[in-house]
Amino acid sequence: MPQPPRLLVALSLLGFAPAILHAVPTPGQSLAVRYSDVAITRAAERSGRTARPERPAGVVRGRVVVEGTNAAVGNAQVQLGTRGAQSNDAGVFAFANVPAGTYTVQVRMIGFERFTRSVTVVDNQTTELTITLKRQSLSLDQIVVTGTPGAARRREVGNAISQIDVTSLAEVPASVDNLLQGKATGLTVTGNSGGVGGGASIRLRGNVSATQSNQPLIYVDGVRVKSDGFPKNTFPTGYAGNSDNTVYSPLNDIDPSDIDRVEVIKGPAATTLYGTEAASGVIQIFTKRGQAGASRWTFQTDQSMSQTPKFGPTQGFEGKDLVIPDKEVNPYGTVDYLYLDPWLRTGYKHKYVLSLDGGRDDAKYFVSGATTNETGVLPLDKATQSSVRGNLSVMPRKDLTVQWNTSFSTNNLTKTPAGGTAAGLTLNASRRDRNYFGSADPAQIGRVLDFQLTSRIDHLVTGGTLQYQPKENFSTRLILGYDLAAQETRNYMPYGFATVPKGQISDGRYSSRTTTADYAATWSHALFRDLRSSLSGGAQAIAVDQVNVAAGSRDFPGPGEQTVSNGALSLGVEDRSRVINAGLFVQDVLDYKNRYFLTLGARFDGNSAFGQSLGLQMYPKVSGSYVVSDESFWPKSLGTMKLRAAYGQSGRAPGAFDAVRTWSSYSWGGVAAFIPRNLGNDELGPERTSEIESGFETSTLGGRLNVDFTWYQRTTKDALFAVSQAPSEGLWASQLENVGKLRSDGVELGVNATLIQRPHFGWDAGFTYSTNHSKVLSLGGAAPFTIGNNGWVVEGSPVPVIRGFCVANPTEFATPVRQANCNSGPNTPTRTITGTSSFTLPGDFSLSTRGEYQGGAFAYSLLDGEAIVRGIRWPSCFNAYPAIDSGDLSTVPASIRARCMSAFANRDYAIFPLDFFRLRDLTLRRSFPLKMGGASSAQVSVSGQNLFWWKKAKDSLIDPETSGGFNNQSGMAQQVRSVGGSIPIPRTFLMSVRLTY
Amino acid sequence: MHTYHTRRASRGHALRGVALAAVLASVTACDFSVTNPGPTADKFLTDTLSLVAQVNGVAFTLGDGMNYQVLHSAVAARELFPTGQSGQFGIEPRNWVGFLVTEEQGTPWNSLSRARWLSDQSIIRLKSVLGDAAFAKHPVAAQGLIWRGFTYRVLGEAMCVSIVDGGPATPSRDNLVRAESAFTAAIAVATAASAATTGATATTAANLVNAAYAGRAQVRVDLGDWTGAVSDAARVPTAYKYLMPYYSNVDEYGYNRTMWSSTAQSFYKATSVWGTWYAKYYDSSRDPRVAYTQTALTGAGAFPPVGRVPWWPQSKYLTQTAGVTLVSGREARLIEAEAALRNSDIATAMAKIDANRASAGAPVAARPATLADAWTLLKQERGIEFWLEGRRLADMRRWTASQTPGALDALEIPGATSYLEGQNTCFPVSREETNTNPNLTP
Repeated sequence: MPQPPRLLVALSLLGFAPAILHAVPTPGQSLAVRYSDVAITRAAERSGRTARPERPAGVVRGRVVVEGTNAAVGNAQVQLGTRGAQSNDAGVFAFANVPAGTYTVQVRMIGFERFTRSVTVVDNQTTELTITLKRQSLSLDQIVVTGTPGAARRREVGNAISQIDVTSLAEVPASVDNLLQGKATGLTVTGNSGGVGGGASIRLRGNVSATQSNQPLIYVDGVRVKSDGFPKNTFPTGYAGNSDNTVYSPLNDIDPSDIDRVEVIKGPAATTLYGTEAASGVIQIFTKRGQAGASRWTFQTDQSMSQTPKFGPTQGFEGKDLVIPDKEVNPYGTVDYLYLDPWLRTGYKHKYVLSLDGGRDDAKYFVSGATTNETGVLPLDKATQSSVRGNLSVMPRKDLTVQWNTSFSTNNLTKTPAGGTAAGLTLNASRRDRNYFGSADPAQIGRVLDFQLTSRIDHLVTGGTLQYQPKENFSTRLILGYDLAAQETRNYMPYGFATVPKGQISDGRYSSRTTTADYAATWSHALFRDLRSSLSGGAQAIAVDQVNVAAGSRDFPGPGEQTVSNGALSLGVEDRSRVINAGLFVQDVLDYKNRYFLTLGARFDGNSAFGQSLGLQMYPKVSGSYVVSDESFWPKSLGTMKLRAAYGQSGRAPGAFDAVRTWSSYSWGGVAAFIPRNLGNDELGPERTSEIESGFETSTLGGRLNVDFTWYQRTTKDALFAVSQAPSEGLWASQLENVGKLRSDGVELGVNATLIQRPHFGWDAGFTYSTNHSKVLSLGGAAPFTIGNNGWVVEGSPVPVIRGFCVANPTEFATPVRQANCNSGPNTPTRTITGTSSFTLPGDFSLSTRGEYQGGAFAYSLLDGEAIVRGIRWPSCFNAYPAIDSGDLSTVPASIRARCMSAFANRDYAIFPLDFFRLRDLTLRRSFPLKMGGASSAQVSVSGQNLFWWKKAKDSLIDPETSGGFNNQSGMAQQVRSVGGSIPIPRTFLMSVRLTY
Repeated sequence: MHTYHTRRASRGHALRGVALAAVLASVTACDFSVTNPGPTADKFLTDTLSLVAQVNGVAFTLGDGMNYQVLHSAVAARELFPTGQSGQFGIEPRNWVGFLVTEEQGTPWNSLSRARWLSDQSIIRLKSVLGDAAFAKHPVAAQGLIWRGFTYRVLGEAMCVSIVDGGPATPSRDNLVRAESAFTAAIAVATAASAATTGATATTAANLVNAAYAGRAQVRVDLGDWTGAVSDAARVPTAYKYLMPYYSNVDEYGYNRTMWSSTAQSFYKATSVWGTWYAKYYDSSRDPRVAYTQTALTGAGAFPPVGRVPWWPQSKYLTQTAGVTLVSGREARLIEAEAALRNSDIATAMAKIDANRASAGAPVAARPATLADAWTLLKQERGIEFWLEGRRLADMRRWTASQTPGALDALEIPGATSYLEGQNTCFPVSREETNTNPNLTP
């Protein structure tokens, strides 16, 4: 039987490139490729004839199901000769007007083996097919893009890479943050806030930098987009706490239903080709781009309601069950809800999505629109989002593919003032009659709701990829992209407001423009027999322009709707910066016998934020993989096994102004005044992180057991540390210097197993286990320094370590002895465990569940600490107050005196462990066909999210997953996470209906 | 298998691709020169036009440091009573009961140290840019020296030790010596500037001469040079005042902190006059220098021994822009009064106090029966005159050191009445300084 020629096609070149493109078919060829393969198959050879339209014709209908359970497989790509289609949620596909003849049917789906068979079509007849796909979680010929110069088969890649197939998720993700949560080993997504609009902190293998952003780079279809949060909605100068605790994430402008899949690479061993700014990892999102075939309409609506779980302490500080004395009972609220009961409500979210996709082999499209209307659990929380997307892919010539993807979203947020502020709801309610109003009466506290916090965020991402492949073994690719993320904020305390009687207002405009230019070429050729080389080279430039302009005023003439113009006192603030990062790379992949792979590469980078005396920086990489299961000695019964190891370097650049000695100018009585700002450092460069990792991927027991294991260790040299200057030498801001050395290591284990596989019943289970332990190896002579929120960088300690005062004699019945520099532990989890379980049930039902545990981290709890030092009577101390109030402290140990008596109190005593478990998702789903013609279907999902949670710190009022702060660093912007006045992540009940026609 | 021709063609494409990559690289990868607007590069500070802004920077930072030093020392000296509000515009718990400890008091040291460094740097740069001859009669130089003098005076009175440019800690008296030197130089330069200029500039310079003499009188008192102090004080008219201005832009950190931390306009209600000797005195005298208002409200938070503290806000500073007196003619009269008491001359001392009170619109003080009573009165008088100006702790330290007669009220010294568990009379070195200064032990 003749083998169809399999041409390794350098698809959508470069790791920075967008998703997989259809390779260019030559005449008579059809591209039968999507996720799991890159072969071009000669349809004519397979079918034995050229399909030509003839009348009359037949119909081919079929259903794609899972082997064993017969559960429907949606979104599988079905190829019938030269025609393509996609199975709907019920697994059904159909081809009409098929000329009589014999065709090859191919079906592909991530996680399953490719299915191929012949089918004969007869005029005026309907041919029914049942296509049974066999699970194959580890597909070594699956194409991955991220971290490679172009596209690579998984077998070639020496580093760990995670793929999330969004179309086959059992859950209904509410956002991209939600979509990523718990989906890959080493990936930690921390929710930060129970309010609407808050972005999550994303960490890949923990923190890589002590001073720079640890948020990974985000690419959407090859275009770099803003990954750090937007500025907090607060007054442009002065106290930044006058706000809520959230920072909006640009990632959540992407509608999850537009996403096809996500690739995650976690560290420098994989991200070398991205250069200076990629040390924290790279997440690449691939959006849907349509399938060849008849137009397909999809309508989806998600309706959900959210409620706040109980979050008050259940124990006193001494570890005993909490007893609430009569005198502490608040008629307006309960400890369970931190006395917020009068304001908490049920939140609702209504989302509607309509999309259309289809096209021909040489032109495909995907267009969608979505609108969301959400009210949060806090009284003013409201969010609306509207988004549109258009993705177009055309092949004007056989050797040329052009793609253009554009999305635009607009968001309007109204937030409840719940931050660490005198005007904050959470803060005042929790302090009862010892708050800023001197009253626990909701009528008094509710005056803070006159504080208006509104934001509008517009986000445009547009980019094109031009791929030119003049020869089978040579291809080039050019990507041009533009990301515009703009935020308008309004922070308004009207005239007569409780905390600012004459009122104040600020209007802020922020924009971030990221321009991507990315070129790469790959030349594949045979060096010797069985030894091939894929040589790649390219250049990339990323320019980021940020503008932050704000105006504020206060003291209005009287009531009424005001603008900045109306305040008696006003000011303006303007910040602008432009950072350019550009570089070259070269890489060669040596392929011996299609099972030994060695990759050598290097990136050469420059950055406008480097010191003037610093030249181009070079980041090398080397990796290897070995498909041991392709060896003749490998027993077939053991399945597939790939061994891999990788070493690479990447970096993090300093900020735009860090290298230059500068002064700030302030207004002082109408004249300018110079203040020292930045000391400057001509030799300032990137911190350089080296990472080595090794591991294996295996699929055995007929694909029923899949294991992915990775060990990694990374070392950051020239770490950028904020070296403090002696105040007596001018109190310059801490100067970044390349002096430190950090190390972190860990293991990542992912296991997926098919436990039961019977007709109409199946049980799949999996878990991931990830660890991360970091340590400061050297401070380079610098003194230990704080990076805020009790986070310190100290030699021999985690990065950062949560440090503060502690009580030296906690168990003694004596006056507390205060001890300085006590280390509690790291600020990021040292261990993360996720567990998943999904059941295939009769009647096309499925039930899935996912839980996540994070442990080992510590943080300062702002709400607890700030209350106790103010003499607020705090629930965690209720058990101790009777003795304290009586003046007889003989039964009160020092640890309790320190935490419950302001005479001994210190904020640092409110440092708590952040260990928690959450039942992230529980979803019941049913898919079924609709009798509306074609391949119409419906899918109904009912799910509960965060239905159950557990936290280790039972004596704290906090949700360990939230964050907040008094300063500009709130939510995802926090370098060191502290837990503030944010309400907990709510539990959500959701019903989703998706109709496909 | 590829033919030779195909291979050659492929290599040609490859070369073209590499060439294109090289072109792109030359365009993109090599041009990293970016000039971002905003912060002023250091090189521009040598321009003559930048000198005024540098001198203003000294005043700005001195005012910032005083904002914290005045408020925190007022609580330790029980010029004000804490209500329990800490953190934002509040008072920290150890400060509530009289202690000024490193862990809570970094800001006064850091801000005032920055002001000191800036004051020295501004003088160096002024001399460098103007030249010695022009400097000796330049109004901006006179202003720079005045700020330098007051910066060192505040440091000398408020801080426990002196540290210059990351050097070792020396007695705080060294700050006072430098202050005296700065004021002496300021007298010469301001006098010359007044003579060399006309109009408003000359008037301003002449005003600085008074400030310099008054400032030097202050530090000479601290240094124990009473002859010099009285000599300088005599040159200062009773009505004369020189203020540290605060300006009301929108940033609340620039406001008079003593006012903003406890006013109905700001909501913080961090301090109260309740529980202080000054409330008692005002109730009986209505002396406008210690005015306050009684309200039915309580402060934010709670002071545990008391619970919720009645909120009686001070009325000395009623606006965000209210300036804090750095030196005045009324202080000059009190210097003269204290000098007289040191010579047991009660009559002269009372005459000076009367002059002071008359100028302030305060009632005439009762005549003391004894020298000790006169000292008590003088100590009260300085407390009243400098109320909420950050001077009280230095006076307490000075009087303790010189063992002068006269008593302080129980409400302002440690004890059950004042709820003071102790009383630090100077601010410690900040942790930031200790951690970064190689001459100090962390």
